[in-house]
Amino acid sequence: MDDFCHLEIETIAQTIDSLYTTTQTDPLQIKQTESKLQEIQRSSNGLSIANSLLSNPASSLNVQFFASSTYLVQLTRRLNGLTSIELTKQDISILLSQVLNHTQQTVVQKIQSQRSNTFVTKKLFQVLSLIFVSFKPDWESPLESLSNLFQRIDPTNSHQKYFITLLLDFCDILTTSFLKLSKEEQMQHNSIHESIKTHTYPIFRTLISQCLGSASSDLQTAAISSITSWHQYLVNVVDPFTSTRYDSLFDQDMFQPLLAMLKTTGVSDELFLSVIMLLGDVFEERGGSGLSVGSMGFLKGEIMGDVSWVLMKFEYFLKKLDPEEEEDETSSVENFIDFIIKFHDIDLSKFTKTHMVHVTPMVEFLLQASCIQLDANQRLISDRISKRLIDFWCRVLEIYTDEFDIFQEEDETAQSEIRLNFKNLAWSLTKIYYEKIQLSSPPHYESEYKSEFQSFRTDSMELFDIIFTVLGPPMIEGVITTGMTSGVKVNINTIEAGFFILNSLCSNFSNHVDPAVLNALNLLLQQGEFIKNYDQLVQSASSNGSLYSAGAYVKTCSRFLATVTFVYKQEQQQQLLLTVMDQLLTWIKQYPAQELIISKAVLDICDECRSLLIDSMGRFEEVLIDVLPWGKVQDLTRSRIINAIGYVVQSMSQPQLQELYVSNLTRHIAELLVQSLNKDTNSEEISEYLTSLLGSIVSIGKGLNLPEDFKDTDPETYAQFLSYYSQSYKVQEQLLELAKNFDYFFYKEGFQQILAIFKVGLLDEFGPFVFKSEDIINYTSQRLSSDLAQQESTLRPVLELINRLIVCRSRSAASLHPQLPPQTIISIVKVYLMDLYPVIKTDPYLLISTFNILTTISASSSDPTLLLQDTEVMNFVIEIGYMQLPTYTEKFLIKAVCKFWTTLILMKSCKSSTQQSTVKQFIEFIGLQFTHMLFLSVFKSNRSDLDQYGGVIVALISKFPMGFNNWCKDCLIRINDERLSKGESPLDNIELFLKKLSLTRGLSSKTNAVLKEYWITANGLRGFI
Amino acid sequence: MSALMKARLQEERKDHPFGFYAKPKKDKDGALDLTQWEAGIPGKEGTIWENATYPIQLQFPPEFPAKPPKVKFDQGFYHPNVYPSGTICLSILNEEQDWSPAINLKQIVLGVQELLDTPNPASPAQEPAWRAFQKDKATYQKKVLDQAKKYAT
Repeated sequence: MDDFCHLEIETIAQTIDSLYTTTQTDPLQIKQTESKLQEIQRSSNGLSIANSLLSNPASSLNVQFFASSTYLVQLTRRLNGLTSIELTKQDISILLSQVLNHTQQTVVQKIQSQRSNTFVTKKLFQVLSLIFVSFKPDWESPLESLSNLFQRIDPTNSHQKYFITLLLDFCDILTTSFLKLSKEEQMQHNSIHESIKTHTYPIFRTLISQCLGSASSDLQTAAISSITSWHQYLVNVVDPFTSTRYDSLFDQDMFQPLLAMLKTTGVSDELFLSVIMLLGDVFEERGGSGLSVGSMGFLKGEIMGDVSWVLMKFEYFLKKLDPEEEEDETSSVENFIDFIIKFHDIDLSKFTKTHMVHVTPMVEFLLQASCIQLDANQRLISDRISKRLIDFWCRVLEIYTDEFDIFQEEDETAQSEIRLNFKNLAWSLTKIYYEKIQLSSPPHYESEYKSEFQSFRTDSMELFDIIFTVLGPPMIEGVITTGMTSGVKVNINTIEAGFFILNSLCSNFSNHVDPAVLNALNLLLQQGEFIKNYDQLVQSASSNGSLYSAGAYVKTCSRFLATVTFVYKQEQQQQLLLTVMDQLLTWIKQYPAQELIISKAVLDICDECRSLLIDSMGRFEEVLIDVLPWGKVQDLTRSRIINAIGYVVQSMSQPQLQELYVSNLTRHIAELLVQSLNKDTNSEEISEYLTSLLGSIVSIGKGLNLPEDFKDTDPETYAQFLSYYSQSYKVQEQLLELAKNFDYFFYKEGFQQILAIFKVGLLDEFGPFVFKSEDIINYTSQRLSSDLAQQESTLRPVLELINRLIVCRSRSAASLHPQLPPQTIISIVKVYLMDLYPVIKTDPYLLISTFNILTTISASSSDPTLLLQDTEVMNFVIEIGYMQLPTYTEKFLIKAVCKFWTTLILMKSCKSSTQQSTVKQFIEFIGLQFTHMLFLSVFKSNRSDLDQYGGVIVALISKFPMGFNNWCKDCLIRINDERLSKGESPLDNIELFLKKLSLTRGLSSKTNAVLKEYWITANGLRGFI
Repeated sequence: MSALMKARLQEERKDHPFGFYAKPKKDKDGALDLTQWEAGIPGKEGTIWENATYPIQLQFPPEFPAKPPKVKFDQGFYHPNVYPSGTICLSILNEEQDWSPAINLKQIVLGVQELLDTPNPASPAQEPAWRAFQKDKATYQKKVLDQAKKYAT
């Protein structure tokens, strides 16, 4: 390969040309040739090869391009340190001279031979730019050098247009080259930026003036491209990273010709669009801050003073849209609207001040653009325009709500008129966007652009939110509900869109709802008649085969109905609520694709309107027939409906009736379980169904959970229920029987659901799902006596249930269910943890559950020192708590064990000095050994787990500052000795570490930092400093 | 609220990506509370998170943008990098890691969306999802699909 690099220049040129001949078709050979040529470009004599190739006037364009690229490759490799060959200042000077000569030669060839070699020239410009930027030659202004060079080539200036284009190309390349550099590199080039400003920028401005003022669209296009690059260079490089400052690139001299291009009719579309893109960037990126007051005033006069050109251009671009083409890229119209918005965004307050005192044609134009109607195929574009304007309108209206004081200079009459103008604007926008967000018929648009359409709708809701703050409740009645109920154009799409808006607005109402809003909604819903009529329209759409729309109609309405529960809670609205519930329950059956949304609506309404739905119990029973059997609905739907029924049952006024209902329902489900068990129990689907049925029982329990304010809001009923359930455990007995009889549910999911039945009522004081502690303990301990249960998948949920039991039953002593007595807790530890330890220790996740229970006992039980009072238990704690600590590697296990120790050491739950003293004595007793095991674990742990150990160390420092320091010292010396005896590296700077540790004063972040630092040392990664 | 924070949060309202929603909550009087936001993260199409929009709450501290917002899913959200409380463990939301005052709401919601289907097992926040993701992909997928139904759109 190296030999190849020393080939004759002519051979190299032939090889390059061979790549482009039509006879060369073998891909393997092409690849080999390319590889050889790349080797040449990287070779040590690459620069001289490039020079030789370009020095030959007969070289083909491909050869010239290859040679120019070779220069770039060579220089880049030197910059990146990929070659050891340095370039001296003299070398750079020679190189620069060579490349300038080659540039001159290519330009001459273009003029004399009409060769299309601009791509070669541009490549040489890249080389020149790189030399200038990165090799710091003695070269003040490359642009001036090039200009002089071109002048020498053609003193008569007959090729001026070509030369100007080239000079602008060079400016493009030069400024763009900086964008590729890193922040650090940019900062190293500060002197170059200053030099460019002083020596290159004035020439650039002269060129730009010449081009923009010329009649040549080529020169104008080149100028705009170049201005765009220079602007990007200023915004992204000069302003943030250098001390160089320009007065203003965009002054009146620059704006004048650009704006003239916008208003001139003969300007090409391409040129026009490039101007608005450039100006849009300027408005957006500089936000007006980089523009002088004079420039701003000029712009306002030019752009806002005369709106006729805006209208003309907008209509022109609209007409140019091809109705046959479904455009999915940003259209010219959208770019144009973006430009107008970006301009006004520079100072929206001023825009508002100017345009809202008297509504101007510009506002009218923007309103017109918001509701532009295009051919059906182009609805995507019209929606995109409307969407772009949403945010603009939001901010304009926010000036009314948040910054109206900008109009304080106006007199009262004028201010009233401004308010009126704002409100009129808000009314107009309400009508426009209400219409725009409607589903169309046929619905191909929404289904095809589902995400875009949904996004448009969601964004529109932000506008409606703000409009509502401007117009208040009259907006709902004035446009939305009126639109839904009257007029010749009323159809289901209008109503659906109305529901969509109302849903969004009503979800913002908290406790207080304006009476006017309530009134409007009452009038709309008319005791449920409106929903019935709507259902007929939905059915009609469905029977027309428009299932997509029918689904959307049902979905939107369901969401709305779940949001306006405050309407149903009024007096006289019972019928409405029953109608709504009936409709939703009917829809679940009719529209299975929407059942998750509808069932959520049912759940939310039942939760909010519990007692108001007692009269619907009969209807719910009918629904049960549909939701309970296998395969009729999804599991989540089944669970939600039964949960919803549970909410209603919870609100029953008599405990006897409540218990009877729950008893019947659970019995019914139990019967279904038995029937299903008699089927193919190996089937995965049946297993899932059985789990779901058991889950349904849990869902009843969820529904029956007592509301937080029950005791306070209705103490008499509360007392009545408490009294009843202190005597009756009918449902619990039934459920215990169910649990005992289903050995089948030793399969993981089913067993978990059984345990969930015991767990669901634990937080409540009474109720059909509130089990006695001993029942839960007896059931689980019996189950655990079976070998089948002694495996991770069944043991872990049991331990979690027991943990929850200890948490919940360690609270109030006045409860129906007394605190777990100390002997029961000790017994739990012995039976569930110690006896099963041979199984537990084999699985880190069982150990996690074990530590969770120990932590709970230390934090929640009546006596946090319980674990230390029984010798057997204490020894167990010592064994698994720290003797085994270094063997724990699982992330969450380390977290659990550290949490246990932190809880115990900090003694936050200790209620007496005796308890504190017990813990203190224990820690002091185990201190040295514990610290030893702790540090052994720290040194062998993953770095990411150190924070967990850090928590324990922080607790020890804060509670046992002196003792811990001594333990640390002793144990670190011991660990050091152990390491030395094993031939391992010693621990560095133990004293320094201990000093740093004590200086942390138990602050977590500092302790963790010191620990991490020492961990690095202990693992031999670097010294401790 | 500082002027900088207000200006920044007002600015955030301008730009949220396609398919997402993000808006400040309203207080009892109906006024906007710019320090408390709610947003919706759509699950990416073609992933087990699709067809659902997952709500998150963003709480901006007084020091924002010097300090990051606290971003939470619902309590108990199933994901390896979401704490049981719902708090999201993501480096760009951590002041001591990759948070920068230049990070905007759009980047945050896109970052959270990306995290949904590409959890970081090296930074687990909850045990059940992390464990299933590492060792029992079938269970993990089932749980995620069930969760997607809960947040179906």
